[in-house]
Amino acid sequence: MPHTRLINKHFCLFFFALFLFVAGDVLAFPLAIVVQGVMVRPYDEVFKGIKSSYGSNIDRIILYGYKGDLEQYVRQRQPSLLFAIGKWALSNLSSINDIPIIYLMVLNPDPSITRKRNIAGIEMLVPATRELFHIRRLIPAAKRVGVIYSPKHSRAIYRDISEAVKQYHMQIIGKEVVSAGDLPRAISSMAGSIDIFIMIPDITLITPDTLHFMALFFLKRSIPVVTFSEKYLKMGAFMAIYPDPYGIGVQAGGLAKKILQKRIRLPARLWPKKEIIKVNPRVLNNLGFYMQTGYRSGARARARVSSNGIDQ
Amino acid sequence: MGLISKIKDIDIMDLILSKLHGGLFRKVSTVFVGIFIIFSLIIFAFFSFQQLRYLKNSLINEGNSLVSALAINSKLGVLAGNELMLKKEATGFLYQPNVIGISIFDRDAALMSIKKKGKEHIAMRLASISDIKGRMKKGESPPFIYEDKRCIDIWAPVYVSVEFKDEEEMMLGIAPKKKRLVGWVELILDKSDILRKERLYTLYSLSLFILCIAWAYYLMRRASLKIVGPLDRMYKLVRGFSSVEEMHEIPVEKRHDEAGRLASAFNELVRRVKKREEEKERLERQLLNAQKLEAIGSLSSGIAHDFNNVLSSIMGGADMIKYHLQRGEEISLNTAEIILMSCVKAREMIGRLMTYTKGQEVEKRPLKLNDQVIMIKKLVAGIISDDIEVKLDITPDDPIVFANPTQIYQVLMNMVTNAQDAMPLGGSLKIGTKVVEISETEASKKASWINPGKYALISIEDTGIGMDEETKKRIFDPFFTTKEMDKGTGLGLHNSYSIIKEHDGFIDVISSPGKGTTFQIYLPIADVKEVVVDQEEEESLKDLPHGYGTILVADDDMFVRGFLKDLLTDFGYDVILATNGMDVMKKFKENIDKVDLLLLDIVMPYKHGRAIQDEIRHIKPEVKIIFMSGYPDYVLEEKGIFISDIEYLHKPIRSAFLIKKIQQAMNS
Repeated sequence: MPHTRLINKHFCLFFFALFLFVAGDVLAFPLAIVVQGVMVRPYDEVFKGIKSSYGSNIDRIILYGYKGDLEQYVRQRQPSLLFAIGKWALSNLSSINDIPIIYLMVLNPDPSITRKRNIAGIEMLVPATRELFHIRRLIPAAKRVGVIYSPKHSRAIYRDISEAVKQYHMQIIGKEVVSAGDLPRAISSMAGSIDIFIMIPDITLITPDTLHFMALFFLKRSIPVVTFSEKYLKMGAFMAIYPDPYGIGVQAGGLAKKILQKRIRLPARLWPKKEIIKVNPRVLNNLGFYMQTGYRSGARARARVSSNGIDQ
Repeated sequence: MGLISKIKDIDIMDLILSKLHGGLFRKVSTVFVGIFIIFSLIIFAFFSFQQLRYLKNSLINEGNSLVSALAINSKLGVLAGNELMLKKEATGFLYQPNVIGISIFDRDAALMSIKKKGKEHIAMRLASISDIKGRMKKGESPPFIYEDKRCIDIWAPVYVSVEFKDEEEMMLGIAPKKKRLVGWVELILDKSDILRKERLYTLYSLSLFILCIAWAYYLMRRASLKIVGPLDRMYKLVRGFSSVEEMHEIPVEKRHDEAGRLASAFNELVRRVKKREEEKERLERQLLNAQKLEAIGSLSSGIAHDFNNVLSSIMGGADMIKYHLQRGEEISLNTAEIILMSCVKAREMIGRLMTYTKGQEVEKRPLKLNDQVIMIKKLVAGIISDDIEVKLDITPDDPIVFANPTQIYQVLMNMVTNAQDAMPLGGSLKIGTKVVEISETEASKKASWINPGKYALISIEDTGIGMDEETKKRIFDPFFTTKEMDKGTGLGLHNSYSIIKEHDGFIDVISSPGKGTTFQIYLPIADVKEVVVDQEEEESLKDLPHGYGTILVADDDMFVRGFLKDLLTDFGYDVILATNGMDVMKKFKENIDKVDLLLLDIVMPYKHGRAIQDEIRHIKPEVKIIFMSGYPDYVLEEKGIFISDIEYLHKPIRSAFLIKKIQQAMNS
């Protein structure tokens, strides 16, 4: 009889484990589909963040190379929520109005989409105040901030920066240009009148050539350039400040839960909670700057900076 | 001599050898150096071309890099239409070496910036933008290169990146792949620098080329000498072989190639020729002996005539002495003198005969030529035909020559014999001497070995049949004769010519058919004033003092023994006589304490004089020995008696001379 008791004990343990496994799925959030434009590292990071926050009940579709009918697929799978990583993904899901959509890594989303009642998103830019906060901490001597913008595409960003600059008792030198061809002249005119240059993501002004030119021009004059993408550090920018993709993913997962639990009203746009600051050490040396206490020295170190400090 | 003469005659061989020597070396060197020069020129041309190409390519590559860099650096300037930016860029590039001009155009071919060194670069522009566009339309890739003698004109388009497709790409840093043409840049490079370098490299290459040629020639010379060396040595040896009569084998150096085999074959030839030469010389000696015997035969009748006369005088004188002594009358001194003179004459005759028949080499010595001629005249008087008149015409200068009397005698006898043969019907033979002076010009015409100076001339002139030119040319050739078979060897005049040549003289012959022949023998005058005369004939018995002591006299001839006993006894010596070698030793041992001197005939029965001397030296070393012999040196040596280290008296010996020698020996 003890033998029978032992079998019963093991049987009970097995069923308990099976229950936990099934219950995990049953108790997890309903199915969500992540639509990703291309397979690039930042997008993958975002996806990892979503997964870690939302759970594993997620389907992922990479649009690049996908030949099926996305909407038909979505209808078949009947997800409770959609994540759109990148502008391409968002535009492909724009026809769906009955399923909540959270867009991520989209710089200037189409207002006609963002106004819809099933849309929520997290901005791709670091708020100007946070950007200025880090600049101020890293380079306290920088008082005059140079910005070039186009009236059509980046006036709003310029305005945000202007407001933030005032908060930190700094001065903004802005140049308005219409096209990339005007950029060299505008940049040349800034020589000697600014201490730091903030590059604004404006598709009409920023090309690889203009980026290169800007970086070199300012580097020659020992003016640090702050950019919005890690990629542009290699072109000679001093510092890149950009949202943490993983953090965006985690933030999006949390947002999704809130939407499903009806704890937030749509449409909604949130700022990213975490940003990454990266510094080009060669440029740092060439400019003769030193990292302020509190920031990790060594350019390749990745600092996750929260609004209240450094998060390693 | 025969084979050598044949080789001499073959002039073609000389020609071949000379061709071989000069020709082969020259051919090998010409071919080798020629091939080397051709290869070197090809390599030189190839490398020069490669150098030029390399320099040009380097310049073009440099230009390509520069024009690409210029296109990149000036793209924003072109895009922005910012001439100031372009000017700065262009100035920077103009500092680069070889760059003499830079032009930047916008996409509509409007010139935006131009920079130049000097003033002529515009004239150097080798293309226009329309040309470049044409090439681009054809699908050619930039940069576009144009070249002439002075410069290289390189064009490149100026592209800028197009805008990002969307913000997403911009934020992610995904660079757009498309580019947009915004202008053109042109770079003009000066070729003068590469041309200068090319000239410099060419100079270096040329120097190297010349050095290589010199080195190749040196190697070729060494290699050729390795090949031609044995042939050259063979050539020299063959030359020597044909001229000096000396043959040496070629050192083959253990070579098994063609040169080695040729040298081995030649060495085999040399060995065979040497063997034949030895055989020939042996035959020649035999022939000469036969010739001498022939001459002796002809001489014997004349000598017999003279000898009979001498004997007649001696016998007559002796008869007279015997007659007067039998009658108790005094002997006439004149009779003794006649006998003595006759004996001297007989000794001279025998001496001449012996001299002529001697086979051994006799050294040269100062010789009164007139005496030789007179002697010849006396000798030939007895043998020559009665219908030939012999005349003598000697110079009062009495020339002295440095000569071998035997050989001179042989030459003169040969000439006289030939003259007699040339006058079968009789005629006149004139033998004369003269002193002549030969100038340098004449000497060079006579013979190569003749030096200018004073010469004694012996002429033998006959009135015989004479010779034609063809015969005259060949009379000194060996084995050439005009005489009937078995009457002449053809070596007489050849030997005479060789003998006179050995005396640094030469023989001329003047002859024409029907007008007789004159042989002129030239001998250089010796640099001596007087000929030393043998003192033997000057001594006289009456002037010599008497001596004392015991002399052991040994001679196998009883008359000689008797005469010597009388002579020595008359001069106060005790004489012991011995008849042969054994007898000498016996008598010496019996009288060992008495004998002061031995007078020994060298050749005696049982034991010859040298053997006796050796034995006696062991017994009584201090005893004196005087040797005498009637045999000449060569006969004694043929008998195995070595007389080179002793002095001996030649029989017949004058009494006074003998007594004097004995007295000298006794007193020593």
